[in-house]
Amino acid sequence: MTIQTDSLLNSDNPLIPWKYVGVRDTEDARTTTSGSLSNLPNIYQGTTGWHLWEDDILYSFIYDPFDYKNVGTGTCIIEEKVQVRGPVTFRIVVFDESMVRLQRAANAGDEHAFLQAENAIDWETRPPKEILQGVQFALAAGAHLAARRIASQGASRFPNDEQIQRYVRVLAPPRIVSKETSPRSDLKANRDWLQAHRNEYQGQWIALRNGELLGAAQSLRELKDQVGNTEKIFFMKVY
Amino acid sequence: MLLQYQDGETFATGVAPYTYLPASERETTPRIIISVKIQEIETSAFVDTGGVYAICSPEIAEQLELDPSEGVPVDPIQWRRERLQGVLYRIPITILAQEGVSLTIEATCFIPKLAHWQQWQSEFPCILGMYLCLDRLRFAVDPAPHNEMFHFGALNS
Repeated sequence: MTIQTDSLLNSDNPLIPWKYVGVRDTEDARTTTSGSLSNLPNIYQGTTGWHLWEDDILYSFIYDPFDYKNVGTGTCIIEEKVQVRGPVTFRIVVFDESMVRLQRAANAGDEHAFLQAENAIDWETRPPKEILQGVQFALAAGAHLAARRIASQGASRFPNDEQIQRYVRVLAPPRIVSKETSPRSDLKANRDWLQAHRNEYQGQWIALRNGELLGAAQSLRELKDQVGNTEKIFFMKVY
Repeated sequence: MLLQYQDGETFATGVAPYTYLPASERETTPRIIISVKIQEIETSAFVDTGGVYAICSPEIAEQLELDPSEGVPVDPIQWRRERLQGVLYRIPITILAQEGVSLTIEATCFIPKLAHWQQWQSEFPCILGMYLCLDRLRFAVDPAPHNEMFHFGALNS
């Protein structure tokens, strides 16, 4: 992939303080950066309709400014400061269009949009960094099953990638790891104490052992300092 | 009494009393609050079948021995109209039984990192969400007044 600055590049000229951003897929021959932005696809907010006119750029319409930074490869984002009827500076940043869609869904907390966008991504071709990013976006979008799946796919491709393996461990299904057969008769005593006395300790942390109050404090740290050993002591903030 | 199916197979292997009280100063709706042990700290947690993770209150988390290199920092998640930054850890959580067997679940636990203006840490106990915490448990509640009981067991028990 070759990314070129536009032939109109002239960074020495004063620019009005506007920033506009377009997105294009550099894997698509139509969108090779060559001096004209007229073939930017109008697929995102922030994309503009561009027309060259006597070395000036006129823009047909500007939506929201795009605020994304460089996050990947394969596609590019172009930030521009435009002086209408004057010299133009382009700054081209490598950008990943499909990851933009994921990030947008994540920012919006939109699980459905995330899954739609994610459907177009082949994780088998993505490097570890993008897999981790995909997991993060999935979590932010609320797509927890997808987060686990993306991490697992990455783990099988990168078994030595410690970070991906950690994601898989953390997102694994919960599992029962032990069973303890000594019944705790003190639980009922603690509950009975709480129901009888909670109004007296509203907003405080309390420590109970077998239905007996050991202490109360404004913070758990303070309370632990008071009671010392914590074995079979029940700590709770009272509401 | 431990719950069984009609054919005698065990449904729940443990039972514990729960309190049915609001879980924060801001709430009046009661929650099912049970006794748990998070690592070695015994405390309360409320059952939230609409939740995803276990959530550990920051004050409890401060007392746990957590290895930062084992955590997964996550972008802000939406929780009750707040966007919370935090870290996911794999943490053992034991549901304590008054009768029968206490079960320890290795669950995914979200530890919030709070901004100074977020008073959440003083507002909530720990929370047991469904998908990454209670997912593999059978459980049932007996809401008999003044003797509320939470029945639970492993899915394969």
